[in-house]
Amino acid sequence: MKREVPLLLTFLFGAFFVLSNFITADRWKLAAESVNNWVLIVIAFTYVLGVGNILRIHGLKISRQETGWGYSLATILGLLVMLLFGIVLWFLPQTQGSQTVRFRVIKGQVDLEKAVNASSPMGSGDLFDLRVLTTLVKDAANDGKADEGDEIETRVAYSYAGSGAFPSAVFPISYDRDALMPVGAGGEPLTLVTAPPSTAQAASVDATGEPPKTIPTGEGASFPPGLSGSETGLVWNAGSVAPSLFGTARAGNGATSLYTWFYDAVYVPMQSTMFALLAFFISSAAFRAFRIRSTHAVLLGVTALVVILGSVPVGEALWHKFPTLVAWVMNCLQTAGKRAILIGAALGAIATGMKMIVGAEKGYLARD
Amino acid sequence: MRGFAVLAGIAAGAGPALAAEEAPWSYKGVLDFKLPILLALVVFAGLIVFMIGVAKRNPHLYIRPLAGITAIEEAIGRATEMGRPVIYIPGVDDINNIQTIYSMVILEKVATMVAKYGTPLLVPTASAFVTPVAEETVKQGYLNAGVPENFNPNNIRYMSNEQFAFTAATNGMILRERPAASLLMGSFYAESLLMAETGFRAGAIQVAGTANIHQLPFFVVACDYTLIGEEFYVATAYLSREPGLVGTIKAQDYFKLILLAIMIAGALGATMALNWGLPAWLNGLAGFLNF
Repeated sequence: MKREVPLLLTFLFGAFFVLSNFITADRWKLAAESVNNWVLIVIAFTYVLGVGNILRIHGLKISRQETGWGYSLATILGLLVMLLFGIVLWFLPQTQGSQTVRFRVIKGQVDLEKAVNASSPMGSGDLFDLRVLTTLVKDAANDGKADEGDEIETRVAYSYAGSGAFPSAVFPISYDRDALMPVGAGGEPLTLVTAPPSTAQAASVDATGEPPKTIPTGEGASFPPGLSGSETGLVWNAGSVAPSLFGTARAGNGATSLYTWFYDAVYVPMQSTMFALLAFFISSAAFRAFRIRSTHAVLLGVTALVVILGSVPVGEALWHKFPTLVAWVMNCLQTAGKRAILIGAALGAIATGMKMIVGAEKGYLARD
Repeated sequence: MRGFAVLAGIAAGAGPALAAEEAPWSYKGVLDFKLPILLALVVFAGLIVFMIGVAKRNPHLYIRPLAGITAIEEAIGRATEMGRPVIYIPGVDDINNIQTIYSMVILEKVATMVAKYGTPLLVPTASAFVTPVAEETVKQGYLNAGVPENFNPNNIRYMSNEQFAFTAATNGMILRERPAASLLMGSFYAESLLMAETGFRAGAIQVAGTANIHQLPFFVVACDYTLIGEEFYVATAYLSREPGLVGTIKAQDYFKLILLAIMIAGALGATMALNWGLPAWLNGLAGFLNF
C-alpha cells in the first residue's frame, strides 16, 4: 500500500491534467485551478522545512565552531532579521480605525460584495490595509438578498503600517448612486450634496409612508463624524493617523518597511553583482571554447566571429551584407537547430510524464 | 461536430477554411478534441507500449552510447580516488517542473553509486519543497547500496529560493569543498554558467543535463559532458537498462522519424502550393493539420 497509493494518486492527478487539455467545461477548469492552488499552498508550508534545514545545518556549524562558522552566523542572522520584519511583527497591534455606513436599496437588487467600495488615501501606497465588509441588516422579504427597500451596512476598516504619522487619511467610498442611498442609524436619508434653493423639491410622503427618494435640501440626518458627501459618493476623513509601535519599527511589506529596505538596499545590489559576474565568466568560457582544435571547433569559431562582427557597427562598415548574413544565421541555421532540440526535449518530457503517470518510472518514490 | 465536417470536406476534396476563433474539434463547448494533438498523443502512447513489449522480449536492444552518462560513473570514481566529494545540483526550479522530478530520479542512481564507493555527496537545493524530497531520495540511494548508516542528512542543504542567492551559496560551497565531480542536472537559468565556471575553477569534472535549450550553449562550453534536451530524460534508462525505460527511448526515436516524415512532406507540400497549387484533397488535409 505504501507504494500503490502514491502511484494511484499520481495516475489520477496526472490523467486529470492531461484531460484538462481536452475538456473545456467550466467546472473542470475551476477544478484544475483549485488543484493548482493546492500545490501553491503545500509549497508554502514546505518553507517551514526549509527554514528548519538552514537552522539545523548552520546552527550545528556555529555550535561546533567549524571553519567558516562566522558565515553561518551571518546566514542565520539574515534569516532571523527578515523573518522578524517580514512575518513576526505583522502580528503585533497596528493602528486601526473603522467607519460604518448604512445604505438603503432604492432600486433593483444589489450584490453585497460589489455594492460599496473604498480606496486608500491618495499617495499612501500600500501603507493602509483596507477591508470593506457589507452585510444585510434589514431584509423585508427575509430572502437573504438586498432588494428594494432593504438596508445594508458597510464597515470600512483600515490597518496602518507606516513608520510616521499620516497627516490626513481621506478614504473615498464609492457606491452605485442609482441603486443605493446612504441613510442614518434610524433610516433617515443623509444629505449628500447641498443643492441651491431654486432647485429644491418639496418634501412629500408617498401613499405608503416611505420617505421620499429625492432628498430635499436641508432635510435628512446629519453625517456621522468624519463622513461627508461628495459628487461621486462618500468621503471618510479619518484625520491624522498615528503610527503604532509596529509601524515605528518599519515592519511589514509596505513601501517604508525595513523588510522592503533590506531587500532593495542589500539583496538587490548583491543580486546585480552576481549577475554582473556573468560577463566575465562568459569571456573566460568563450576563451576556452574557441580554441581551434577540430573541424567542429573551426565551424564554431568562424560562425561566432561572423555573428559578433555582424552585430556591431564595425562589421557593417567592413562589409555591408554582414547584418543580413547574421540575420540569416540566426533566423535559419540557429532556429532550425534550436527547434530540433526543442522537439526532442518536448518528446522526452512527454514520455517522462507518461512513464510517471502510468507508474513505469518509480524512482521518485521511496522504497521500504 | 464541426471537426467532422472538415473531415467530410477532405473526403469530398474540399478544404474548408476554419474560423480562427472557433475550435474545429469542439463538442457542445465541453470537449475540445484538438484532433491532431490527440492523434499524436495516442500514436505516441501506442508506440511506447509496443516498444516496451519489444524491449522486454529482447533485453539487448541497441541504443547508442551517450558519453555524458558513461562519464557520471567515471566522475564518481575520480572523486573517490581523489578523496573529494561529489556535488549534485538539481536545478533551481520547484518540484512541479518535470526536470526537477526527473533530477530526483537520477539523484537516486547517483546516490547509490556514491554510497557504494563511500564518497560524500553534497546536494544544494534551491527550493524548500525539493529539500525533503532530495533527502529521502539520497537516503534511499544509501539504502539501496546497503549502507544506510553512512547517510548524512546535513549534506542536503537548502540554500535559498532566490536565484542568485542560491548561486552565490552554491559557488561558495564548490570553492570551499572542492568537489572532484560536479553534476548539474535539472532546470537552470542565468546561473548555469556561473556555477559551471566555478566548478571548472575548482578542478571538478562536470556533467550537465538540462532541457532548457537557452542554457545548453553555456553548459556545452563550460562542462566536460552535456546531456542535451532528451538525453537528460533518458539518463535513468541508460543507467538502469530496465526494458520499460529502454523501450521508451526507442519509441521516442521512432516517433521522431514519423514527425520528420510529416515535416518533410509539409515542407514539400508548402513549396508545391506556392509554385503550382495543391490538389483539393491535399489542400483539405493541410486544413485539417493547420487547425
